[in-house]
Amino acid sequence: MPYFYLPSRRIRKESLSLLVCFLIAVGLNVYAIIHYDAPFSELWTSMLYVLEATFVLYAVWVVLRLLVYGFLCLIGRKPKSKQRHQYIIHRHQRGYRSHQHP
Amino acid sequence: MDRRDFLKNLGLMGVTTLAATSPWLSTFATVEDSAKERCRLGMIGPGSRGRFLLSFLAENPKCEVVALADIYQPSLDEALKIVPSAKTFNDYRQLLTDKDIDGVVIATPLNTHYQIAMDAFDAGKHVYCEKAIAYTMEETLALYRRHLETGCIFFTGQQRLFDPRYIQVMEMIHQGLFGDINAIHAFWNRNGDWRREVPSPELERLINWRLYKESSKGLMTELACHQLQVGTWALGKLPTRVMGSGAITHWKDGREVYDNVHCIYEFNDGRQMTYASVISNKFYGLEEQILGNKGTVEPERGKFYFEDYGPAPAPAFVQMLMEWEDKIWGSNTFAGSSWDPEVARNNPGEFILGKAPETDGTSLLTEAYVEAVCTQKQPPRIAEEGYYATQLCLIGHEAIVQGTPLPFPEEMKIDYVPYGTKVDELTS
Repeated sequence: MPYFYLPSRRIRKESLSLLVCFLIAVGLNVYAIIHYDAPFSELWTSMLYVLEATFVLYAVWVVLRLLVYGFLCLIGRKPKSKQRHQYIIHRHQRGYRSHQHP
Repeated sequence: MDRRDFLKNLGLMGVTTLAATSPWLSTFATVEDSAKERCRLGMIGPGSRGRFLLSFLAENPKCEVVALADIYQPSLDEALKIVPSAKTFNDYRQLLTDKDIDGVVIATPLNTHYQIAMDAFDAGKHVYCEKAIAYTMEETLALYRRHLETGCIFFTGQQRLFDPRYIQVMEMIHQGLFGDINAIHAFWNRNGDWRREVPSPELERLINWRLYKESSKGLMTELACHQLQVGTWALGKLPTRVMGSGAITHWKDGREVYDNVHCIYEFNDGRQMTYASVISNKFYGLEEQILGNKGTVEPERGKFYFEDYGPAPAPAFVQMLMEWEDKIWGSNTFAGSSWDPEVARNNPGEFILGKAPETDGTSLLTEAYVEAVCTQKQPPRIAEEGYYATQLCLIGHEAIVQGTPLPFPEEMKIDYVPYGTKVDELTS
């Protein structure tokens, strides 16, 4: 099984991305409710659609970033995130724990 | 439906409401006071329609049909089966000389209405006259004026005025439930030659009087008269101009009146009422389609339909996504959506009275006449409704004959109070 490590910083960043996507989807629902003169109860009753839209937006965001990442790799420039990721793996393999209290 | 059920059905509407929409119903307000009174009536022309009316009168405990008059003996014989004790006459004038008779019911051919009704008024008799009340506009006006001069009760055979579903739905229309009523499409379609069986050829014009110009104006006076009155009732005003067209297109059997008529009645604000009658196709039957911007009424079916009926709209979020999808993937929209076939929507509607119609108001109309004769009180506006119903069908026929639009003649206008006014006067 390949080694997989997802740092907490990444988790925080992805959670934030998901939250932003959710807020955009909610915002779109509010716009639609006003535009189509629908009852505001649809803020709750359409939550399933909003969640679906959230994941679609997030997926689009992931795909977009993968494209950018791939492009940067293609032109021979390491993306910042990869540099940092390698640094963290390196530190982890060496058992470097300087940030911990003795 | 008897009067008790009728009043119970309409009880929810309240006296003021009824007085505004259908003031002639005030005749039932005195029912209890006149409980012991009884009137004596004579029937002139107990043919098929006459006997239909007779069947209601014979069951009414407040009246007694004591005399019958007709020039056709078989009609008298049939009528005697309903009222065996009635005296019979071959000349209506003999009937009118009977001082014990309070009022008459006239159900003779159209061209005879005027003379018989005038003679009845002159004899001091109250008059119920089948529609149309006269053969010409001038006769109609003269008859109405004679009614005013003599003070005798004057009813016409406009039974829809007493039909509970019409009364109820007119109240809804005047409250604005169906929005602005911009058009009314009235029609009466049948598939039949409109002939009665004739025992011998010399009786053809006597029995089939509806088919000949000398005695009838055909579909306009025999059928349209009912439905045009519904239009003025709904809109609360009279049309200002009429245009029409008519022909004999199917029943070319020697008849002289049209079997295919179409008219447009135009109101001063541009609203229109159309009337069509074809007797070679019965698919659409009869109806008065009252078209408001918020809903439609079909009183003959006893139903109304709101415009916003249909499946609940998709959530706004989905609508928005569909619109985006349509913008991205949809076809060219330069021509709009007019390609879509706008066939009639499958809207089941709702019953005006909560159930299918059971009566057409004739029994209540005859009951109201008896009540009015007993109490000697002319119900408000009922004569005027009958007057204008006849005038509208006659001017429609005239527009067809002349082939040109005709304005409603000023000299034929009588005091016609718009609905919703003089309520205090009617309820006090």
